[in-house]
Amino acid sequence: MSDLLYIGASGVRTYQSALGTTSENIANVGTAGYARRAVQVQEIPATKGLRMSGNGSLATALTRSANEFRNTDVRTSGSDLARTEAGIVWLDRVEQVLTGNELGAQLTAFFNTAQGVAADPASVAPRGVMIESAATLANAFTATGRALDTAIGDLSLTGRDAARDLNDLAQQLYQVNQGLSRADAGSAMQMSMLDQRDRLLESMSALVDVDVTFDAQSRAVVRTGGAAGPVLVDAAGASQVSFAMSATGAAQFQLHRGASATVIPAQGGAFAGITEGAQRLADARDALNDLATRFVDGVNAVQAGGRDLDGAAGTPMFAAGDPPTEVRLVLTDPRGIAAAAPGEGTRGNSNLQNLATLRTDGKFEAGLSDTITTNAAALAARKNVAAAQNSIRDAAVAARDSVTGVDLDESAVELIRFQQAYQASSRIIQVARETLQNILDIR
Amino acid sequence: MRIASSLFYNQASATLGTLGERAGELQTQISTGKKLTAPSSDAVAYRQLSNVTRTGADATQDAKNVTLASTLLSASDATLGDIEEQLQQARELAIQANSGTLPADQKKTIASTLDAMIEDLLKLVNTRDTSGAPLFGGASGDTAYTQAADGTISYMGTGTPGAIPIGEGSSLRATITGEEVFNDLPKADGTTTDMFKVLQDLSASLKAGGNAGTALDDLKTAIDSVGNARASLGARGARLDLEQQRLTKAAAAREETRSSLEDTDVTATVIELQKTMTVLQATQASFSKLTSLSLFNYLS
Repeated sequence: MSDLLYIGASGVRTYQSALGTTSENIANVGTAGYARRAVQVQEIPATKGLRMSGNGSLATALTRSANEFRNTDVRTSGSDLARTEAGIVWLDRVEQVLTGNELGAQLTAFFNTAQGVAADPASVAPRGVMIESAATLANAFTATGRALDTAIGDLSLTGRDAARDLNDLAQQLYQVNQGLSRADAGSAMQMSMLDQRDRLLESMSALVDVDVTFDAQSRAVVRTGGAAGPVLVDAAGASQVSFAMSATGAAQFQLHRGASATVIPAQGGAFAGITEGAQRLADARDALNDLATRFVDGVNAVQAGGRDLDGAAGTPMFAAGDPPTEVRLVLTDPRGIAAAAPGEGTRGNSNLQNLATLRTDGKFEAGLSDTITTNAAALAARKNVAAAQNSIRDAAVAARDSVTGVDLDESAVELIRFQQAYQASSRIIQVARETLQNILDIR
Repeated sequence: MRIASSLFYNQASATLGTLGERAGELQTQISTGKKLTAPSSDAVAYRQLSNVTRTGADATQDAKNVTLASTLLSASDATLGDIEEQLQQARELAIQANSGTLPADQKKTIASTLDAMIEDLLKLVNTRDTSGAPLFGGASGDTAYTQAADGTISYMGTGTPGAIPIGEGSSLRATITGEEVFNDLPKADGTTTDMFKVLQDLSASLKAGGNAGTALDDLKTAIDSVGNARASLGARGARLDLEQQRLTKAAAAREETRSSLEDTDVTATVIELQKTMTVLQATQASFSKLTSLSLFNYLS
């Protein structure tokens, strides 16, 4: 009869663990990265002889409801989405920079005030208006250039932050790997380490596309930029990641392990978005520099070919600094505008015709508009792609969470089931005691 | 599929967030009246819109130039009208003086009237435009005509003032130089003379007791020249009127394009907003219904 007591006690112990695990699930319903756990229950078999019953039940280990394929899906789709979203940030910046200071409108205004001077070249008033417009235009060039520099500076900071974040994550993952070497299989500690491991891997995949393999002890080996990329974390340690921007504005992330440094061939995650954004900003910088240089040189050439109100050869109107968008207005005297061609008098305006030709041939406004439109089209396309990738990622997350997530209703059912099993097991102990008592009561 | 509780909440918050965002977007479109908020909202429309804006700015400047040209044209025409009148009177005086019976002292009186007219005409040909430049001047010089110490009146300008750009690459000369109207008048003998020389010669001849000589014909030539100049100015004025009409029509067409590109269709947008709000409310209601459902409510 002592077997009955033992069986009852084993049931009580088993369902105590099961109730504990279910409570743990309920308590962690809102915890990010928590994978639902279950207690693995086994029968304790009879050991010898022709016994009719076994020895009760035993909670042998915890199991974790996780599916590595679904985790991989979430990581891949997350990397794709993060790349697009990080790229959108910088395309948006380019759009704001190029339109924010109304450079196009100021160019138009400048050429139009020149037409005003052409209508009445001898009077100073329209010339004054043109000089003011030229000053505003020079400011618009400078402000646009500086806004672009600020954006490039911000990108550099973002890149450094992203590299630092990945370093932190890699370090944490290395520690989790070490913890996993020590944790007992099926223990709560191992489960929580595995949760952390998967959560860290997911965070990493938002930064760079990772290729993950697991060893026998479930430790993660992470390669960046695909299966052929350099190793970021393995059982031996975590590599250091750094961010660098070249003088031409190209950005790259490097991975250092020991003395060797490898460029991360990032195809996904924020790293790829930042690298791409850097290229966009550098292209915008080139386009703007080219525009400013051509404009300043063109206007100054027109000035040099004409005569000002006092009959002298025109002096330069603008000076380009370094970078070329640092445009300064150097002609401040309205009389200095070379409206007339050589040989014409004060009321001549032929040279301004050359300015109108410069406007038509230089296509400054159309060129700027082209740059803005190309960028805007890319931005709009990226937003559409992001919307699609968002749905893909949401679906991947839903698929994973349907496996790993906690359902409160389901937990409530389990709670009742285990509670009843627990109560029934206690009842066995009572029955065993009463039965034993019956025997003891025989006299 | 199992719906994990956290997933249910996450999805609800994502859906509600998207709907709220959409409602905000529509609200902005209604309150600003613009559906095109950034180039990336519609790159093609942005390109068209920036063209429309640029042509609009150009047209504003063209309209200013057309107005300035009109002002100069009317000023030139009015002054030429005055000059024509004076020349007609001078010619009448010349006819009067040409009659052989006129006594010498009367000829002198006519001559002094002519001298006064010459002074008036000198003032008229030196009329200044609104910006202070000589209306009949050339490309250079502050005055059109000056009188030397010996009384000779000569044209000072050289070249022609620049034509005023009036849009689409075309330009128009709104003034006429003194040289073109009053100088180089052909005489019967093949030589040329100018308006002031004709009048001064006539005055001198009358003072000396002589007669008008070729002055009658020469004055007629001068009057014709002024008449031709006025006709030419009139033709240019007609061209400006056409240009002005073109600008007005183009502005209306541009406004239509601009409006279709960037203005909010208020009716459609309000309906869309209403729809979004209805969906949002329904989602909120169903969310609160669903969240109140839990098996735990029935455990006691």
